Amino acid sequence: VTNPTEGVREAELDGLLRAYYQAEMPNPWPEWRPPAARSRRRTLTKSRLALAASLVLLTAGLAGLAPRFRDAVRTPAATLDAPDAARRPGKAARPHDGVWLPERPR
Amino acid sequence: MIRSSQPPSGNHADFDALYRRHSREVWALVYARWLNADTALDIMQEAFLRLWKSWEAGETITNPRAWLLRVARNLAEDFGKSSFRRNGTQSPQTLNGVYSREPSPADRLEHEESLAQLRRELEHLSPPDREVLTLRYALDYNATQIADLLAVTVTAVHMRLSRARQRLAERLAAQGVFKP
Repeated sequence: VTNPTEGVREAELDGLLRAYYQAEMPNPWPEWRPPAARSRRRTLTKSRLALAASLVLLTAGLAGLAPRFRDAVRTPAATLDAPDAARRPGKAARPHDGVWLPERPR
Repeated sequence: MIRSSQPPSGNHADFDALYRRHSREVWALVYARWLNADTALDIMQEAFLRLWKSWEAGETITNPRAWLLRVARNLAEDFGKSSFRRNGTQSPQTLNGVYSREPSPADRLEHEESLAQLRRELEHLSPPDREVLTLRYALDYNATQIADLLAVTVTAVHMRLSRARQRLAERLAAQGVFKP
């Protein structure tokens, strides 16, 4: 046999628990918003721009520096005929050692 | 089964449906752990964010509901550890009382007092008992639904529910919340 007081208490507890949890639940319930869609696209654009800028700088650097190296004075180098001409101590390397130079017009 | 390599546009609706179907369950389980609505909301959203990222990465998740619940439980435990570190020697459960709601108007004072008392008594219950209560009263789930979600038997749900209600009733009566 159920005690009437217990029945009232159970109903009261039910009501209290329901009220408590309903008050605690967020209202309205937040919607789902995908966070990464926009920022991912932005990150991709940024990295592509950085890559393009790096390529432009590299190309410009090569174009600017290439003529300087082309005009530089060539130093003597070793050949099959005189393998250590450039490194022989006590003997200055002659300009034509191991290197082909055009003859000067007389 | 979630399996996709191009989720953002094509399967957005699927993910949205998944969120609407399971987000409250995830919230309820985390809430049962810490009795803090804002923390539960943060952790619930973090769990879904991680699922979204996994989905974006093309990972295969055969049971997203179980995956979400597992991740949310882990995040809730991690939150406990980090908040313990943040708060020094106070245990997180002790500090949960800090997050009480705003004072109520005078005409609702008695009701609010009862709810506050209920909250204090809920803190004395074990997390598994609170899980059952939260799913029952926050989401209005029946014993079968709760058993399915928690992967326990229906009998176990009935036992937990009965035990938790009994303890609450006794403690609230002792505090004078219920009329004699």
